[in-house]
Amino acid sequence: MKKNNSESALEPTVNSLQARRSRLSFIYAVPIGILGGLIGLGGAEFRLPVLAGILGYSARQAVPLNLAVSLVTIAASLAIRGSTLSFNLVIPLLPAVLSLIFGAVITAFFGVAMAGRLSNDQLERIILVLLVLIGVALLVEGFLPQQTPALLPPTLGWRIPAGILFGLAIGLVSNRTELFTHEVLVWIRVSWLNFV
Amino acid sequence: MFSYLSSLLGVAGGEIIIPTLVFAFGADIKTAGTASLLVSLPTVLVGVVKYASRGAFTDRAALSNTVAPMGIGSVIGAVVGGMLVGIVPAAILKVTLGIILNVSAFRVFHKAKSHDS
Repeated sequence: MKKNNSESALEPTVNSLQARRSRLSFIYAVPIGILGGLIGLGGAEFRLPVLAGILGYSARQAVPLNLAVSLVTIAASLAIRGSTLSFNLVIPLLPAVLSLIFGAVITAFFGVAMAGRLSNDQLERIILVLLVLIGVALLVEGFLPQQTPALLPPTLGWRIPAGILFGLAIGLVSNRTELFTHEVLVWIRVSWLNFV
Repeated sequence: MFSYLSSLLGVAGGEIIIPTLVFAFGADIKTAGTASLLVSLPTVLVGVVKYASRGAFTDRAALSNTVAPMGIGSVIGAVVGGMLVGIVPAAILKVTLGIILNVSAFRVFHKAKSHDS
């Protein structure tokens, strides 16, 4: 190991920077990967601050790198879940999942027009309230002893239209969060650079 | 259309899809997580292919010192998590996801505040 005096204005050598990146990449990836296997998240949201802040990538570089690691995380999570859980349980959920996707795609196409009616501030507030409500509902459910029943009756006549409606909303939220992500990236980079 | 979908669901997909399946459709949270992963796999794959065709992965150094160690760490984490999901009670998963959503909300809030100032 090279003794680097932190007070000196010496730039770290290319090699030590590479080694540092590798080490940090590995260390941060493990707990985020656990979330993938345990809950079913790709973990992109959590890796983004690592890539763009700690590892110092630009947004342009960080987004595709993040996506590549997401793919690895998702594939590994599915592979291991396939042996610990049963995929058969997913089949009854397929109509709901497909209608969610359908709704989300509709928002992707017409989202701009829909979003134009609401101001950014209003949308941010709605999303904030929504995230908090869902988060709190999950916490409450987590602490309740018994399973609460589904909001919707289990007939397809209910599930498909409701799924499309929820999909529309999810599309809108994702659309916004993606915009946030880019703004947050810039914010992380600026504050990280100020911090270092 | 599929590339739209991949950018759409790649960012905040799972965190919202999972509670929707749980609350509206009465899925158990473990099954909802698997369903969300199954949706994410093709969409993220399309996203990666799209970026690859634009030459986003030509930086060999980034692949070897970031994507490779992150990928290895992620697989180790995913295997640990995937083994835990068989034994951890659903309540703990709900609480964890609930905390994650509240942290996300805090970030949005923080962002909105920094706009105001």
